[in-house]
Amino acid sequence: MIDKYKQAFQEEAREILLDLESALLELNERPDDTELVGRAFRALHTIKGSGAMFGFDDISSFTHHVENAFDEVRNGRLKASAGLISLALAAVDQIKVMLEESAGQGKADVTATKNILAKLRNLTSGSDEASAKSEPSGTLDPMASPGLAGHLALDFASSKPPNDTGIGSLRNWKIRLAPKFDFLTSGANPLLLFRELRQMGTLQTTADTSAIPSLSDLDPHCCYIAWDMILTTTCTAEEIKDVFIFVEGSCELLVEAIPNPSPNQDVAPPAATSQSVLSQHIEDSAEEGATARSAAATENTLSDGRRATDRGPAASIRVAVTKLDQLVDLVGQLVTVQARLGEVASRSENDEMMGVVEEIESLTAELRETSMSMRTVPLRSTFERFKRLVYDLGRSLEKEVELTFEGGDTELDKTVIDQLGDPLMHLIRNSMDHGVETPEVRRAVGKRPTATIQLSARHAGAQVLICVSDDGKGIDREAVRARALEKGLLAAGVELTDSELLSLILAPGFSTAREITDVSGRGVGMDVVRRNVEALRGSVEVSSQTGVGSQVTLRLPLTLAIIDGLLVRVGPARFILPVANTVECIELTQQDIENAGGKHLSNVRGEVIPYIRLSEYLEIKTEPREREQIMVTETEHGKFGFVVDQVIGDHQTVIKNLGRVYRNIQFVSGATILGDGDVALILDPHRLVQAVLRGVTQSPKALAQAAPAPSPRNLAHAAVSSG
Amino acid sequence: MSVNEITETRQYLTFKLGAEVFGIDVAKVREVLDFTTITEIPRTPDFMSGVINLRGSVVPVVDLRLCFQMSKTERTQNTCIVVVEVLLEGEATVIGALADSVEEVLDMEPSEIQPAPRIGTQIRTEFLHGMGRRESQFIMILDIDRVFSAEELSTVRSVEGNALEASA
Repeated sequence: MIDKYKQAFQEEAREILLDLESALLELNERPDDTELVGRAFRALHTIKGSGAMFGFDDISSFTHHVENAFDEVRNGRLKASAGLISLALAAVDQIKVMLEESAGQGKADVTATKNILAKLRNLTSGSDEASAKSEPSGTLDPMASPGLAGHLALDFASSKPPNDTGIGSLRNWKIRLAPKFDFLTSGANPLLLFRELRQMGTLQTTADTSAIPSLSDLDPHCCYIAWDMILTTTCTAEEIKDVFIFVEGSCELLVEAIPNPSPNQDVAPPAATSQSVLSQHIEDSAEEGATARSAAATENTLSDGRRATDRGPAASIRVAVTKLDQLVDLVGQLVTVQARLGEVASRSENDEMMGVVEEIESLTAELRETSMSMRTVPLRSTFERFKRLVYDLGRSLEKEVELTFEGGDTELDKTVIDQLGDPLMHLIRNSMDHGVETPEVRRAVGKRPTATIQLSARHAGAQVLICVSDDGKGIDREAVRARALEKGLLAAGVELTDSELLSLILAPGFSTAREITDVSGRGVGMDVVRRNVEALRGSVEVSSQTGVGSQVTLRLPLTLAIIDGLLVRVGPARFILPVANTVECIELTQQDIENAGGKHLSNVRGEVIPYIRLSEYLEIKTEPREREQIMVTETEHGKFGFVVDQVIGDHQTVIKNLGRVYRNIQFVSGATILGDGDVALILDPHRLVQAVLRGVTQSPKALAQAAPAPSPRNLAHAAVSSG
Repeated sequence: MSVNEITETRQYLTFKLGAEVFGIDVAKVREVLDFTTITEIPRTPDFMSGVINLRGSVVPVVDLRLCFQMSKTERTQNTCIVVVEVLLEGEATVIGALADSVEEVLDMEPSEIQPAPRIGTQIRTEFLHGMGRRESQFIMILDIDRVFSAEELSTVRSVEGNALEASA
């Protein structure tokens, strides 16, 4: 049970760290933005609080010191200097390492922790030394971890910033109130006691619900809950005990001072006890709610309050990705079965049945949409992760680079996004290392000294385009050519189009940087980018303008699971074309072909559209037909038509991977299982057109040589099989 | 007929391609299927027969006869698809292999298996673990990982550039 919470904490902490990191980086640019300071503080506070709650004491106490520093900043006693931010970033890294350690991976370096703390102490020295030395393990903050609460914890003092209690003679008192069973029947009301204690100072209460019996054994007149409290007050033990004077006989009371007084009222919470609806009830949930909300309000005084709604417990729930995968898988199977049902029903010619089948069909489609949308997430957080990379690289390369985003709200399948991190990182590293110039060089050529790298995303049909562009010096085409010749990727004297030349940088083993730097230049980066993106059934395009900048575009499918398709027939074979790209379907008659003089051109209301005969390109024997169909499709090369024998109809297409063996079949984006159990291939219109165009221009095989040449054995069989 | 359960490494599934008997380590065999509809994939070499629907997953099928320089597999009542799991570039990949007929599962002692002779077989020796012998019958023990290795399937991967030359 506890492990589950710990895991949830680790996951949540990682997310919070990301947010913290981006807040810190923004703070670096706008040191006076109090909203950002508040954001950083809250993130730290949450990690500290929930860390302590789940027993990550080292993380919690370490974070506490960083939090203190930011509290100073928040109170205007310390400036958010570059030094502090850099230190805080180092601390973020250290917390990450500690998280990894707690998850059983790696080992946190204790000296690194100490170093960071020592530096922090130097920065914050003076104003708050006492707190820097204290050994806290967690202010319990009920709002800090809404989904994680393992036990009840109320911070009655949270309307007061913890460090504002700077007056002397404050002491921490540990109070345990363990009512006997007749506590309530004797007329005592714990709430009144708490209220009274609260008037004396800062009170923190934890309910110990371990004594609550099962419902059948429970006597509603009895009080089974005990409370552990920490009171920070100037009052004496006697004064505290006076509060309990009327209940002394019906409870066990323990009041003791906590040694090493600290201005913070931090203390290790008692061992987590199970949550209980009953205890919540007794503790007057309405009042708690109010307190909790006031806590949240304080937390948000520096923000616009938006985050309070972001964190609303009902707004979202955390679901394991495997469960979503399972759901999508099931929906996929349902879609396949539904297709089969449709086929069986249409053969039965039973109207009543057809009605039901149609209803199921529309429900399935809706279910499909919903389950797909559950897996999509906006790209923003992926983008923001790179701020840190740019910040670090900028410092080590002594380049000034600003990272800007566009279209961060574009949503993409989580699986795709997860696989995008590496390619994007390589591309940004590449831009930073090879593309962007140093400020001096930039000034010399009349550019702004600060370079810009832009990450942008947008939808294009059933695909998402993600661009990484920079305003650097562009790609040196001669260097690319020379390098390709040297590496044997290109034969001498071969003419390439500009885009073909540029795409050579994606070939394995290619790298124009002569020296291997730790940033990029091992000659694996771009190759990895291409491989990763192709594994997602996407493609990479490079464009560049000398002196102005370069742009790499990743074209990715919106989803890896199910698409709307059109089932078509070419000869005996059936194929799926994605609906998203299809513009319209028109007829192609013998007369039309004659009118065009045998050229593969069709006339659609005055617009001339070139077409590709699938039977020709795919080498499928078909019977000559009087009428064929042209599927007019929007591609990146303009409108193209695909000639098929017959359009069978709509098909909800569950995409199945063709696997490694057929990985490099470019014009196919996958396969699907039809209603009758047969497999049909899903064609990729963009790539089909690309392949056909390449065939027309008779481009050299330089790129194809990146893949291994056919082995003699295979050529041998080819000879045998055709002979 | 599933042989999933058998993991004893010295057992071999034997099958026929023409008159020749071949053996595959049963640990590599997932199952044996009756012949089913194979969807051809255009512009791929002939020995890549296409893909089948294996209970909802799409599995590639290879015509072993064409791999071993025999004529294309003709479909008969006995034609089977032996589904094997091989390591392709370090990843477990399921591939179907066409066989004219599946014979039996044999126990064979290591002493019964000889190194493959360099001459006298149609099959390249690197595809063979060795030659087993049962009575007067030779059994060619296939190194199925090697047969389906990345290089051997490379024509498929670079087919865009080479399919025409390869099938010309």
